[in-house]
Amino acid sequence: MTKITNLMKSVRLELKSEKAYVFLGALLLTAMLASAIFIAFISNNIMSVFASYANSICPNGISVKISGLTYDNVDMLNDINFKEVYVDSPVYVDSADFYFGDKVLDECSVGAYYFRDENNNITEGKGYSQKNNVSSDGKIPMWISEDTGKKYGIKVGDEIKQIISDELTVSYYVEGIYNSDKFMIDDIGIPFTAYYQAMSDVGRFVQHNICGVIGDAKDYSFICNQVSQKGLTAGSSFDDVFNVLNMLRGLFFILSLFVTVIAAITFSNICNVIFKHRMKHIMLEKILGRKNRDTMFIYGFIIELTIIISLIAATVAVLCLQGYAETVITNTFGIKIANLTGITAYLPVAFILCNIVLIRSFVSVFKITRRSDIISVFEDRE
Amino acid sequence: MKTIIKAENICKTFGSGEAECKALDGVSLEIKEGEFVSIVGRSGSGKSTFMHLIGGLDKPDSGKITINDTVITDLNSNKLADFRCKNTGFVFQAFHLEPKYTVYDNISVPLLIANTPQKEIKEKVNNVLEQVGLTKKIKVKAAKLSGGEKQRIAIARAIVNNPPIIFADEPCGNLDSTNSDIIMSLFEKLNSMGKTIVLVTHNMSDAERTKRIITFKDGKKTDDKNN
Repeated sequence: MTKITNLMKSVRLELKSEKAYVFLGALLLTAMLASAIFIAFISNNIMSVFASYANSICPNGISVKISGLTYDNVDMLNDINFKEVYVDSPVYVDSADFYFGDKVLDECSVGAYYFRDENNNITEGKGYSQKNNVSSDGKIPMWISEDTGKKYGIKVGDEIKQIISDELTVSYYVEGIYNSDKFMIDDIGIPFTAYYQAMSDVGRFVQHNICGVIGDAKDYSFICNQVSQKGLTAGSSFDDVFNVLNMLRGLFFILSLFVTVIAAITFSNICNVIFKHRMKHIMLEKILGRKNRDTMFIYGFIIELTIIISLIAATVAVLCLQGYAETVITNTFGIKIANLTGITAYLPVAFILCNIVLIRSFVSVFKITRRSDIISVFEDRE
Repeated sequence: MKTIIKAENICKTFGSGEAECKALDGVSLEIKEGEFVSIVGRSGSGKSTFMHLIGGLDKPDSGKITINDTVITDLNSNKLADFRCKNTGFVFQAFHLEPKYTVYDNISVPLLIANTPQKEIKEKVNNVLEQVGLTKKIKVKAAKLSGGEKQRIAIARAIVNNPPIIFADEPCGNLDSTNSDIIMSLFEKLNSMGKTIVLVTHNMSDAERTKRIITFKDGKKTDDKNN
């Protein structure tokens, strides 16, 4: 304990004797690290600011077209975080083909849907679920609106036929009746996987494009990545923008690391100036009996203390600036930019980088302590 | 009296090739405990080099140096530092005080290095300041002291760990006669307290105040007489 106390006292004395240089070094390091942290902050928030803006102009979400899907493997999208999946190109389902008994349902609109969630708007029968997306035992489920049900007297369990030709008929069974105002646009909804399967069974090709809706723009890259992991591709008009922003984010982050390294090099140069300045004193202490490792500890402690204090001061400075910037941007554009996770991720990286660069300063002190020509240094006989 | 410093056949050369200079050429001598010895000689005679070697600040090219029964020529850097801390005190011509430290801070440095508990440091600093007669200057920065005062503080720093041996290299070299007299009186007082003092000087009037004068010339000991 005495040794630690005495070493700390020695640290204090060293700081006292070189306080101008140490203060200058710390100030410079703080300023440069603050710049680096702010650049890292911009890097981290570039996407979130754009995402906030995109969400504000696309309140219902961003639609991406998914390539590589066919009607019978749409379930590949089940574990992807889409808000909604739908068929893009109009699925022409000719309602004139549909009959309830001998009544033609030509006044109804019929749509093929990819159902994803249990629906709470069903007023009778069963809600749709993912298992209904394909037909089983040849029975294709169908959902109709309340209005349609009342108009034609259709109830849950009734059969509706699609007469494609004299030889080709597809049967549907009403699985549920839904609230007209709150569900699909169409009067009749058929799970399109089952629909396409039925059509392909009867030799009719149906053009289709499947799209997913990304609810929050900040998930854009993540969800597109999920899609590509399934061997599919997702694309929208936002692709170029997100690609550029991702590249900028990466560039800014690299720039922040570069500035950090420059900051550490600058501080290291100041440290080396201090060590050269203190060489006589180090030799004097050696004459008085200071061990080499204790000298290393004293200067190493000062270096680490300066790095830590500078990082903290730089972070506080950036947080103040970020707070001000956020207030201005939120008040002007209604966009939130309070994303601090980037800063907390950057700090340990910055600390490690600074220490890696400052190895050269530690080596300088090490070399000084290892000098055996004490007197020639002490009496300027070099 | 016990032999406290023993140098056997010490040789030291600086430089190489045409620039080679033989600073010491087979010097042997013994210094007893409690002696007040001066080493005199002209510039380049090897006297300072010899003092640095027996003080453990440098290593001879050949020969053996024993201090207080420890062969210091066999010690590594850290052990030598430790040995110096406990057994020797140094006073230099240029004082070598830290100008931005106070008198207290300057004197406490050897105590910090020797892991002295904090409560003892204050007591020991006050004791040595009393011995050198500068108690009132304890909080003054070293840069504000006169030359004589600086050298007295340097002596205080050299004796604060109570080492048995004090090495002084031209301690009066930068002082006027009045201050030189004060410094030499201090050394006499320390010697009377039992300290072994080895003084290097080119000033014969300072050497005359010591009890034994060893003369060096061209790297060899040429004379050794009691005063």
